[in-house]
Amino acid sequence: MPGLVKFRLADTDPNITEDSTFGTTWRDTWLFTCPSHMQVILRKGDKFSLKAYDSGDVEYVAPDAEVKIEVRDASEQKKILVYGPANYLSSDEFQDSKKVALLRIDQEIRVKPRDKIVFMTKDSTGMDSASVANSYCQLITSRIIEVEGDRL
Amino acid sequence: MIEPFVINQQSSDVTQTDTTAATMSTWMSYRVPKGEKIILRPEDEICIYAADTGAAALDAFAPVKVILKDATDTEETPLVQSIQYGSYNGEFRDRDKIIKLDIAHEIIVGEQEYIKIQIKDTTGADKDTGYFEIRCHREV
Repeated sequence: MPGLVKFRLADTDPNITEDSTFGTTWRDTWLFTCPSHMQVILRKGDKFSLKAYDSGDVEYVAPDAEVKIEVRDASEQKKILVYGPANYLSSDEFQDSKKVALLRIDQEIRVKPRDKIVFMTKDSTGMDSASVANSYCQLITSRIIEVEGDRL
Repeated sequence: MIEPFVINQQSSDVTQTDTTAATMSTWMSYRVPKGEKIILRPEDEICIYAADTGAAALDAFAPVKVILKDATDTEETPLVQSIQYGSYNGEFRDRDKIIKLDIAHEIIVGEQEYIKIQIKDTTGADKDTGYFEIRCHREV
């Protein structure tokens, strides 16, 4: 696909909003809104990693902690599950390529401008804004950047 | 729509039970909700961590099997043949070590049918400390 480049989406991306509300149910821990002039192309085999700490600064553990990733449209009415809901320990590897979690979607998913990729977590203790700040995630995927005059 | 899906111990349609000592009995039972189908493929992975009811690690030689049962909970189809727990051994990350289903082709698990994990441990497998994943797809 012409123009397709590797995209490392991390929690530090300027288009990500961090959750700041404490909760023990499923939370939108990191919400990425696709900016204009770009599409994210999610594909089978894209790599995902996450480290999460609860409000007591204790790392998430099984069997209580879970992780999932959704793609939502701009209105957040249409949702597609692209990862999980998995035990936290399935997703906490960042380095060893044999162990890093992979997306298992069958077909590529195009995340268009204003669509969202949402990294969600759930834990019996819960995360607060401080522990979200200490936690981090990374999705290694691809993107296309629109060049002026071209249409994606 | 078909999407990747993981059945785990927190899934709302999962029932977990302490198994009976020295008896092959159901540790986890997942019943497919109405309106959904689970799609199982030969490359799908299953990960299990289990401890016994005395809080000790499960016997490595404890037989574990994964089966599909029909909606009446009678007719049984093996998904992973009976193997030692040591083959699972709580591995959730290393793809070289994770167990894959023992099926030759895609299997559709219809609504209200069951996927079960059965264990025979000397002491009995504990339902509260164990966790698992069946990495498959679902049609909603």
